[in-house]
Order: sequence, then C-alpha cells, then structure tokens
Amino acid sequence: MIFVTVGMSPNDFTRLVKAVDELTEEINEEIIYQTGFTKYIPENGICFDFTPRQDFIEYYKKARYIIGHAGEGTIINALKYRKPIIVMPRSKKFNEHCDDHQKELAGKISETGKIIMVENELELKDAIKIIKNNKYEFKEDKSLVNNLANYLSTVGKQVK
Amino acid sequence: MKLCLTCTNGGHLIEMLQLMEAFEGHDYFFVTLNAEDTKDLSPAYRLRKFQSVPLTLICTCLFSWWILLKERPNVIISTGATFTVPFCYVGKLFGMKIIFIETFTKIHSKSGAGRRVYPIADLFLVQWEEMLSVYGEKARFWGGVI
Repeated sequence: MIFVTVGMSPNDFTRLVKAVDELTEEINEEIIYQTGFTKYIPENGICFDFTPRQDFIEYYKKARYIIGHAGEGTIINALKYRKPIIVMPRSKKFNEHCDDHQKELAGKISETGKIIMVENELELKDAIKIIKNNKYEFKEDKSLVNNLANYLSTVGKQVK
Repeated sequence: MKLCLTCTNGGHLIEMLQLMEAFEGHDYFFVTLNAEDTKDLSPAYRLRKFQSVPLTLICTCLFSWWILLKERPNVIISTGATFTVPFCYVGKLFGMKIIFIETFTKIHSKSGAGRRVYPIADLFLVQWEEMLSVYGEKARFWGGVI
C-alpha cells in the first residue's frame, strides 16, 4: 500500500493527487489518498479528506512509501516511521499555498538525501521507479538527540 | 532533573516530540497551547490562546510565574513559538537554564521567537549549519530533528 497525503492546508492540490492517479499503473499497488481540501477525486484507490490523528498515523505505519505535499508534519512523520517519501511542494504560482516555503524547505532537506523532491508528473514517475528499484537509502541522524541528552546529563551533574 | 518542555501546537510540537528520547531519565512536564494535537500530552499545562497584546502578555507572564513557582524545573526547553518567549524570560528570572531549539523550517532567517530568546538562552540550537552565521557566536549546530 502507498499513502498519498496533502495535509490540512486549506488550498487545493489537484496537481499532486491527479499526477499520482495517472501513475496508478506504474505504482501497481493499493493507493490510499488523504485529499484534505483538494477537489479532485482520484479514479483509482481509496480516498478520504480527513481522518483522526491515530488513524492517520496508522496509514503512515502501514504504507510501503509515502507521496505527499512538502509539509513539515508530512515529512517528519514519514521519516519518524522510516518510510521513503516523495514530496511535491505546493506552489504559490498555482495557488496551492500562500508562499513557496514548501519548495525552499523540501529543496534543502532533499539535498541531505532523506527525501525525494519532485516538481511534476515526469519527475514523480522517475522517483517512484527509484523507490520500486530499492535505490532509496534510508538515512537516520540522531546527533541532535544524542548531543542534547549529553548536555542535559552534564547539567544534571552540576545541579546535584 | 525536572524539565519544562514548552512549545506551541502544530509543527513546533512535532519538533519537540522528535526530541523526547533526549529527555529520558528526567522528569518533565509540558506547557503548551490548548489544541486538538496537545490534548493527549501529559503532564501538561495549556494556555487557551495567545496574542502579542499587553493584557495577554501580562496574563501569560502571571501564568508562567505560577507554573514555574509550582513546578520549579531545572531547565526550560523550548522549540517556540509565541507565548514561549515571555515564558522563557520568566524562567530566566527564576534562574532556570533556558534551551531554545530554532525550528528546522527556518533555513536563512531568524524566527520571531528565536530572535527574542537568543539573548537569554543558555543553549541556542539551530538545525541548519547556515543558521549559525545568521544568529552569531552563541548558536550551536548539533543536527536536526529529522
């Protein structure tokens, strides 16, 4: 199963949902869509607009990979549950968002190799191939957590 | 130690929750906003809302005063935003250590909360190396929440 999510953003994101729908054959497995405020209804797969948070998390956990808008929560959830994620940033030009912040952030994160960023259906098709060919490597970085834990440990000794 | 974890809901909460592993072995409580995604946090104090106007600021400071006198944490850890600024200032007055983690969504410029807490932070963390030069010599880069 793959999970497609456009988050809670109040703007339509037909561009992503339609692009995935048109790649149904290439994806070749069950697709579950969370479409939020997007008006386009996929012709294939299961679709809902919103769902309680616990159910949302279950979809992340069960998905083999995620395709989503480039929202902070979407990206963090995918990486938290160790799922490959392809993001298409919402664009101000197409009224998908109030600014191009998603593109800026996703571009930066994709440089680390932790996510794949795409900007159109052709790139999405290539990204899906990368994941299906197991060419995506999951990278985890615990240095912030570890360094913070060490710092707190040091402070704790001083307090005692 | 006792830690106070303070953040607004939404993305700032998501970032705080990514750091929970760092707090293992310590007691902690949350100070946050009242929202759908904060209702399961425990133990937690929740502000109903926050606006940067004098009356709300005063109420927030009084609320912070009351919580911090009651709980007396050793360290306040904030991922931002809004009300966590006056909260950190009140904590600093009490002699508590202030740790601020700038949001990872800020790549080139300071967040409002980050800019305001930087002067009083004992530890100020940015999540992108480029942000070190944006903030100055107190800032540290120890990696990101993702």
